[in-house]
Amino acid sequence: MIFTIAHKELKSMFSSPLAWVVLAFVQGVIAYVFIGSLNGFLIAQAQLARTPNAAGLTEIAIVPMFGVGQMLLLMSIPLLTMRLISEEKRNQTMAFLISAPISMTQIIVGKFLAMATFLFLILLLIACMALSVTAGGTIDSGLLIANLIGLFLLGISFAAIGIYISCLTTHPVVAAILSLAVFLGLWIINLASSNPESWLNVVSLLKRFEGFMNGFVGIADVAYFLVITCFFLVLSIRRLDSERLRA
Amino acid sequence: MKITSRFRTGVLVQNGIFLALLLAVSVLVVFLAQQSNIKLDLTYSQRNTLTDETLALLQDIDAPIEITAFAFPDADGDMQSVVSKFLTPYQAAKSDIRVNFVDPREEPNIARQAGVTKNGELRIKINERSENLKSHSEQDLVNLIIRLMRFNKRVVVGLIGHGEGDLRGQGSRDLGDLAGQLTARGFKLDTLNFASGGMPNPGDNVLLIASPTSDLLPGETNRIKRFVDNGGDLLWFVEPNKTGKLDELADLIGIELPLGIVLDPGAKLRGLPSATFALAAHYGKHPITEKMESNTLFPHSRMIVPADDGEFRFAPLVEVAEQGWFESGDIKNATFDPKSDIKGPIVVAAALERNTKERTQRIVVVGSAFAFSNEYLSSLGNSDLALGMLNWLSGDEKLISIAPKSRVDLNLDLSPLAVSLIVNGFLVVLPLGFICAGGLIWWRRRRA
Repeated sequence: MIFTIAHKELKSMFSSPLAWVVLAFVQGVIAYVFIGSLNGFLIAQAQLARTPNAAGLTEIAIVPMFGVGQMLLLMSIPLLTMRLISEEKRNQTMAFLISAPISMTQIIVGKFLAMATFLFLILLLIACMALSVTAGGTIDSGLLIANLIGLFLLGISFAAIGIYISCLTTHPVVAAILSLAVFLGLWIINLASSNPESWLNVVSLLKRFEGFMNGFVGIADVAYFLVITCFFLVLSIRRLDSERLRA
Repeated sequence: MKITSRFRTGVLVQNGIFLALLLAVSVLVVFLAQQSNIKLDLTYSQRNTLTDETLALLQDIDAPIEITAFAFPDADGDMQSVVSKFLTPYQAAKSDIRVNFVDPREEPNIARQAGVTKNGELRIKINERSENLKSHSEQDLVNLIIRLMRFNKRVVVGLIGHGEGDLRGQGSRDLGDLAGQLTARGFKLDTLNFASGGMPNPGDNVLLIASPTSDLLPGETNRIKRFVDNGGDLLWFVEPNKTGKLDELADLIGIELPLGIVLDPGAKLRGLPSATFALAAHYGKHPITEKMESNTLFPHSRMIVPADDGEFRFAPLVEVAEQGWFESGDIKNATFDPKSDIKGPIVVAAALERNTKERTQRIVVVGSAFAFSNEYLSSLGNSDLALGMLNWLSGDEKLISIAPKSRVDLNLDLSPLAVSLIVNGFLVVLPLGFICAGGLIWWRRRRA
């Protein structure tokens, strides 16, 4: 049942131009950054080979894609999650879903899976770009994998928060603005937490992503992203349940 | 079901309890995961992870380590982030490593006091001793920490009483400035006067003979020979034109010190006062000189030649006067005489090693009395060279060698076709394709 919902949700996502525009925008910007830093590596290559402990191709050309990728997710995920629940409410289709023989958990998890699939698609595009340089060299595949894992975890955390906010309102635009505001708030936390001992580092999603960008997969970081994801998914389910009770 | 106000309150309370429990569980999970401290380093050859030797060393150190990083953003990028990335694993391994950033452009005085010359240079301080680190490599940092900790308690003992350069003196031929730099790096210094004191124990000391101007008594020479014979480490600066009755010592360690002086006509062209000043730009392959980047100045220097039969392994450290020669005659209006003189380059400093029963005995001979004196220590790279010599002589056997982490991704050779495919495919075709797909769907839905 969950997969039916996920499938339906993906279908409706890609039958509106929005998902395509987001995909084109994300691909365009990331490719631009990738080609820029690839060019930088080609120019600096001879000098880097002589410098001990210099950064390699993966760090110079591929990791920046993930740096800009997190900002692009921060901006585009609100656009995709905004209509997941609030539009169902607005179009009065929520009543059908609620009265159908499925649980709220199935609805939320189904929609979340659709978002996760979309994220997976973006990661696939980035991975393709990263792997394209293997035509002329080798890359540090471990570092690439750590980055992919990190960006996926960051993305699903954003998606879960976006879905919860979408549950709160009947206006998709309001949901989008609210989500964007929350994500920007998270970003500002990251900027504010320059002191390494600050507790903000424990809370900040983007700060935790930095570890993945350096090639670390920390249990604490993975757990934090998963806890944030589950927390907001459970809250969303609770929210829909209590609305069903009221209806 | 009838919804009463009591029912509503019940739901509210239930929701509150649920939220509190959910929050508690989440915080607990995050807290527990935070304690685990397990981090997988997925990079090739675990580039981010410190070696076991380094971790063990950091565990051994009780004192806090203070690091001042002199870094500012320049054309090559933000040096501050490079430095903090380099230091992060150390801070993770030892919690009382404090890093403090200083922008040398804003605080030039602090940078000058610390003797900083390079963007990204680090000043490492442990137990009131400090030393600068220019390279960001694990091996260099670890060995610097080992040197600062001075696990071995060896003492540098300066011989006095025969007009030698004195470690406590402030005169132009004394070595007070060198002594100051050594103390700051954790060396222990002492002086030895044969009139009042006995010979130090060869195993625990480095003997410094800084060019005696008057002759040693035969008995004193014998005591020094016995010290060296028993495996004592020695740093010997040789006075020009005389050896102070130490020729027997030269024989013992297997070197010859021909009388004369090195002349370098090129030095005068470079603005040095006379041809008796020689500039060294070439260094032998040796641990002392492998890190030398700058030139050094050798005033009034003499030649060191290995004797044919010696127990010691001879390694030239410094060669000077590539265009000059070793003059054995009068230096007034001297010209090169192929019969008596020797053409450059001339070796003016050498390191000698011999394996004794317990350890490796180390000796450095410098053919100049003045190169490291107060007057010339601050010239060019002279102080770096002097510190290198003493670091090697006080030879911490604990120094460790850590191979630099290898990388796979240093080369990229893309054919023009591949470049054009990457640029056009990812930057033009894919985004345009997505836009077209979106447009097509929008158009079809409008028609439907």
